[in-house]
Amino acid sequence: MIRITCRRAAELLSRSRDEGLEGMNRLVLAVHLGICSNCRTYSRQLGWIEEALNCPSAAGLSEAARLRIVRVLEEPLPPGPGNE
Amino acid sequence: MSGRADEAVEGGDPQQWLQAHGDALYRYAWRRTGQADVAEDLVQETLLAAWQARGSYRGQAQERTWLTGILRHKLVDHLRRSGREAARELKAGVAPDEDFEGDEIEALCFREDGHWRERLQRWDGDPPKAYEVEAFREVVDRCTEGMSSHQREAFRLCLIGELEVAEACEIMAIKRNHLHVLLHRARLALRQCLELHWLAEAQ
Repeated sequence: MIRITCRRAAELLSRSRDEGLEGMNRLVLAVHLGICSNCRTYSRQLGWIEEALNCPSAAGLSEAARLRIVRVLEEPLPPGPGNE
Repeated sequence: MSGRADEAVEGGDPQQWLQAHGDALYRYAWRRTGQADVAEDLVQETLLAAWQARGSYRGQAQERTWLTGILRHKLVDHLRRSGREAARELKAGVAPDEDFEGDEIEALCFREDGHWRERLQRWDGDPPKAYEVEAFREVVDRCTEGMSSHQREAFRLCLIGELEVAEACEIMAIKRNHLHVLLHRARLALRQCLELHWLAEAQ
């Protein structure tokens, strides 16, 4: 009952990144990771992917966009909040 | 004396906000959309909205925090809108709950007994640094083309847009468990695709 497949472990690894796991799932996943190096590798790869996707770009606002926004901000305000 | 000059002193000055926070706001938006033009528009909308709502800024929060809060609202609106457009395009297709095409990736990765089909190779390369992250995102974009439409949408909302699970479920009109399955399969697909098209080429 405490044993799960790699397929299930991979699903729990994904879930744990999005909102954490409740007691039993956390336990069975920890047990599985203790004995399965392939799933440990997968877990590290998911960490790699998250870090890569969270990396900010070096580029800032382009000069053209900055000028455009300056001009928009100089225009008179449209009435009322929210213009959609 | 009244009007804009006084207000600018009291409530802030949008040109100064642009100067001081424009790059940071842009990077926040770019990271969560991967699209420069969208990120620029979101910064513009944010500064306009902030200027309109300047009365509500009382200086309790840091200026940057306050502006980022507004930007996040704009980002969620954007993701919701583009999600609806994507959904309209899919309308003739399948509903998310009937979207089974996505489980092919599980069959590709796992044997029937639930074990991995192959030994996973450790990734030696570091995650991309800031200067190469745009090239990395292009590869990620191409990788999402191989996903099912609902996997792609879940991926776009949660893993790129960094929305909460509850927000993404609401936008996609699906249940939590279903979203988890979509994200799990999207990760499997991305892992495989990156191994072929990013890590292999980086080495």
